[in-house]
Amino acid sequence: MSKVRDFILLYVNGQRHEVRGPEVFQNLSSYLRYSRGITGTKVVCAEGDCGACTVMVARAHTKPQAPAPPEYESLNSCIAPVFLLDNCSIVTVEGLGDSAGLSEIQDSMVRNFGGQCGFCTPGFVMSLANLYEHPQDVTPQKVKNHLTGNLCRCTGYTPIIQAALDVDPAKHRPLALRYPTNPLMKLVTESADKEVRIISEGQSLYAPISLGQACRYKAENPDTRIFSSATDLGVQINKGKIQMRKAMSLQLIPELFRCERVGQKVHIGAKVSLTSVQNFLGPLVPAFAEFLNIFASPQIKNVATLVGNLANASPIADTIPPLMTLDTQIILAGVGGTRTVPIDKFFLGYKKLDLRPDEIIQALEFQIPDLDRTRMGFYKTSQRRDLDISCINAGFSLEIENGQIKSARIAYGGVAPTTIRLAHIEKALVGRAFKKAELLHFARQISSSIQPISDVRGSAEFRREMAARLFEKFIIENSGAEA
Amino acid sequence: MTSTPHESARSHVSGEAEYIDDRPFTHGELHVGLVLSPVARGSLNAVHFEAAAKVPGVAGIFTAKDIAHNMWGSIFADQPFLVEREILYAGEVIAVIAAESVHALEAARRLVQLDISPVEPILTLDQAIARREFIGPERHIERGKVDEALKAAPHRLKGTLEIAGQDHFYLESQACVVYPREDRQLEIHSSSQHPSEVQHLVAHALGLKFHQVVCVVKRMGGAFGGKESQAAPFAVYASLVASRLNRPARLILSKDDDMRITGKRNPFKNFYEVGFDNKGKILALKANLYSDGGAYADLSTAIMERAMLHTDNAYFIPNFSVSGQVCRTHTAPNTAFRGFGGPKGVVTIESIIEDIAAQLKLDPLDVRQANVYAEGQTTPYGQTIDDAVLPDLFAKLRRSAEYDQRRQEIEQHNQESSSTYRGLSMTAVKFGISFTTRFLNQGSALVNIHLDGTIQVSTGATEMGQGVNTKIAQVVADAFSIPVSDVRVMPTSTEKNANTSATAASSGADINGQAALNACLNLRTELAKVAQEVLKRSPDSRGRKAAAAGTVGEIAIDGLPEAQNIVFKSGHVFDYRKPDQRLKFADLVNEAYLNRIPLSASGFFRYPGIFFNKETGQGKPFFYFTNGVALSEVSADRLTGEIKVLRADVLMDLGRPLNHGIDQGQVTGGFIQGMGWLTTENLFYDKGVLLSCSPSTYKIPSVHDVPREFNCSLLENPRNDRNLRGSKTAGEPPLLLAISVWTAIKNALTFARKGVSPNLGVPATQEKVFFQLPRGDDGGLHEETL
Repeated sequence: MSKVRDFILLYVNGQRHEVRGPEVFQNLSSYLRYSRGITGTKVVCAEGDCGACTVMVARAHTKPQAPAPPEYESLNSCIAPVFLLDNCSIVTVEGLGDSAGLSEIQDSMVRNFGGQCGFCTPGFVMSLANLYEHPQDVTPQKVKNHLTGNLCRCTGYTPIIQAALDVDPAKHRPLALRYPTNPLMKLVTESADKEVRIISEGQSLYAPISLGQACRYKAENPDTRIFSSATDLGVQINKGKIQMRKAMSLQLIPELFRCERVGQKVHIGAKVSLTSVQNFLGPLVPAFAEFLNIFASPQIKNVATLVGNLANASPIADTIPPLMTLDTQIILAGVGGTRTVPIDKFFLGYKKLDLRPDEIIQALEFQIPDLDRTRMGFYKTSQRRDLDISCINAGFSLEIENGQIKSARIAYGGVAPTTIRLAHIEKALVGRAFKKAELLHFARQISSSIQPISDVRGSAEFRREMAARLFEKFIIENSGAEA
Repeated sequence: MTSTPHESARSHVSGEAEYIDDRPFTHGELHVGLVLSPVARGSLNAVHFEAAAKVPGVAGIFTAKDIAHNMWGSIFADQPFLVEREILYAGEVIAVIAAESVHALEAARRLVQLDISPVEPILTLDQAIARREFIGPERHIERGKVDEALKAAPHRLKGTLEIAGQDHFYLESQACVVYPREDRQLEIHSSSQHPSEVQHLVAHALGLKFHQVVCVVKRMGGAFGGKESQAAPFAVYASLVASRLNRPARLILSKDDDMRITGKRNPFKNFYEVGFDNKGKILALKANLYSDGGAYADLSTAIMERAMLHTDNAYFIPNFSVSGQVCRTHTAPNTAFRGFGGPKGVVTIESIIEDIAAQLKLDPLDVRQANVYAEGQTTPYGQTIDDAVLPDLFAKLRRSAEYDQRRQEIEQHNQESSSTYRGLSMTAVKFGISFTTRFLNQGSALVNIHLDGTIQVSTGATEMGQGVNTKIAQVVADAFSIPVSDVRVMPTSTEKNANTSATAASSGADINGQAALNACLNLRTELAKVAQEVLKRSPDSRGRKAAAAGTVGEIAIDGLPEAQNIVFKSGHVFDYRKPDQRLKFADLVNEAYLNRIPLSASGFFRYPGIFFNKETGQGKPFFYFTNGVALSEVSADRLTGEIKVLRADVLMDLGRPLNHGIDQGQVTGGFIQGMGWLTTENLFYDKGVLLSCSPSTYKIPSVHDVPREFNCSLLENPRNDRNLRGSKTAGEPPLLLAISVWTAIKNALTFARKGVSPNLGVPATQEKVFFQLPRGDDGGLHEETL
């Protein structure tokens, strides 16, 4: 029988709080604004798309690898339930300055006219704090990458970029120095054997400390929902599409944070954030890591997981085409042990998974591709290039041997109820010479073999033709010298 | 260049700046929510709210019958606050719910049942035009003999331009909180550009007198025109709750609800025929503009007037005939949005010029420069151009941004590149400054000088981020030559300045700043006289002690001539001939007080000499024009149509800018906001229901959309002496310069289409661009691209 904790432990701007009762199930932004009365953190879209609610968070967890003090990263507080901030130190815009006045980042924003109406400003300031938390050469491109998740309607961003570049690093003090996270680590280690159970007003939270417990609970409570990082569930709750009743959090299970190379394979646990995945895959599957640059925002990627994107099973999930072209294996943990399902068998229909009532996705594994003979390309089309849900996305991977295609994998999202592989095209490509003239005409077969629909992100006709065009783009970009 | 930071900059970055929903909850305060129509058109048979009323925590549910006077409208009173029977758009407000918690409110909202008989809606401009569903009269502006000139012209072009709407996407959604005060008074804190209208409409709706209602606006988290007329209904809903239940009431819209309920930039459909000579000189333009007003009139007729007044834009067109008609569709009533009609006129003529150049195989910039207004020419509505800076602006930017060299490079690139087409285009803006309705062009201010020499100033202007309060503080501080930190601009309140106009038409700083300056000048004249008299006295006969003892006589300044030798400098006041005998400003203020000289004054200002007859389409509607030009370069992916803005150069004449940093921010911000309208912002409806109602589906520009190289410069124009301290307002005009991005896309596609200019609507979404690219008959890749 494990020991039980009945509160969520967090720090806000250095002050310790034990959160109990209904506040556990609130959004962090509501908790900050209405329970703690600090209103600098703003809410605009309540769906993680504008960044006005950005705060910095250091998360302590019992890592399977060598423990190190947690580092501060940004997240969207409007879609994060308080219980997911267990064992976290949170810094809001109110925590940046000190008795001497504004922080250097804030002062630079003042100097450079970084705010106009001011409503987005706290979020931008926090994203800049994220940029400057780790020492690095700050370039305009890095600034933009760190501000992908923040919308401003007044300034045209130009003065904010200027403010970011004008920060004097010598005057900047990282949050890790101002709000040390060591005490947090100590607490986490001390309470590593305590699961969390909280029940309040028809809502409950269970945070087990082992996968076995989690599977048993899921089997016994078919109405439970796993909240991994809530970057999608949080949106649905805010929009009234689902109600939060019985929540389970997996964040106290150390093995789910495993992210490592095992021989020629990679293993990515269910709780590994997309930011970590992106860093990890950089040298191993560069095309995938680069593609993640135009996926979501830092605030989302710092908490959202690769497994979460997969489990959400959206037909336009941007990571699924790459995972399909990598022949990813999905490891499912159940009460009776684990089983492995190949990714193209995992999606049974629209948002329907091959997942039994007791099963939880534990990890993903795939072979590291041989970069010398594999051509990979991942594409998406959206109304706006950055931080936009795809209209259509695609993944291509061709294994080339002696100028011929040895194997091919083609996956499309946004053209069917699930992401699909085009097996007949793949088959037809095998044995062909890797030359533009040999391959481009397959584009027409691609567009004639899909039946997309029209919706808010694009018409069926656009999707059909764009599917062909993305294939052509891949071929042209990769076979330039071999035309 | 260093300029005074935004007066709220420090509180913005520290999180201290207070917006409506940041106000602490007061005892008994209720949350207010709205029940909206799910259909675009229908007949409301009944509202069943029995189940909703039983939700624990629900304090009240109100419908149209609870309102004393239900009809409103800024120009025509044609819109109900709450639906009575006829539903005219999806998102129209049917009922108001008040509850103790957000939780109870949302639960109750889900339980309200609406019994509606749907009716087939009119959803497009084409349908509305065909059925003659019109709002207001058709308006005309005419000059010369258009039909004859068209007939005689060596070249003619005919076309149609479809322009979609745009959501304001102010970050702070519509918000207000209302506190009931004794004797049926209401104190409203609203995120509104127009506190006087909020005051008037709340009183009207609830059957109160105006003096029972005060509306206060501290600041808005963005507005852009969306809170000019359309903040008021939300204040009415919250006030209804506050007055009926006698409890404070707070209404904060979610972004989704805000986007569903409120109107947008008007969509337009413009039909035109243009005649021109071999050099591209425009001889005649005939244009019929139709705008989509949505379900109710709102400000659409005035917006149409401004569109018509800007269809000439920067170009002299000798024979000119433009008509304008607002149409009714079953969508949210469209409203003011930065540019207020101007962008729809300007994009039309700029598009026409691209097409003329393509037809004649001329450089579009040469065509523009051939047509640009020269000093002394008159507009089709009869206003003389007497500060013609545009020829100069075109020439300067052509040179400084290396237009001709880049044009050559682009020609070459488009011959050689297999990955992208590039396009380059320079457009102009000549934006008329003034409300076209004359009586709105008035402003007032109240200046209070305190005994320590600090000043509080209040005007009718509202702060929405544009920096009007900063500029007013600077003007007031400079009037007395005291530090700007000694001046505080107070929240805008109808009890300090009444009968104010909306902060709109880019006129906020002009009108209210000049009113404040006028108040200061009156005070300064009197204070100078006091100084002159005080300086005559020995130091020991000054000050409170002497005055209290009654040992010195009182200074009387009535009837004294102006003290012309007294100057105010660096916090001191002295006779310029005796600069060593100086008074501190605070000491002078004390002397004035001790001698019973008023230290408060109100000021007033109206733009002089303007008039416009809307029926004849003639007059001098504008006090002045703000002018600028922009050059944009874009690339379009040959395969996917993905657009990138590679570079933009903006050059504007803002006279002698009051605050360089703030004006620069208006320019970059307006430009990027305009780019959104012209490229990525796509309002998507299904049966009249807006589906793109949040940032996950409605894409305003992100930081990555900023042109990779973005140069904005302000041209000093010391000749301008017409406006407040020689400044020209920035507000709206830079938004229209983003049209250069859209024409650059057209230019890039003209290369793709072998010299044929595409009929590209607004916005030029990737999908629209994609379908303008050459492609094979069966949807495959065009062979030439290979």
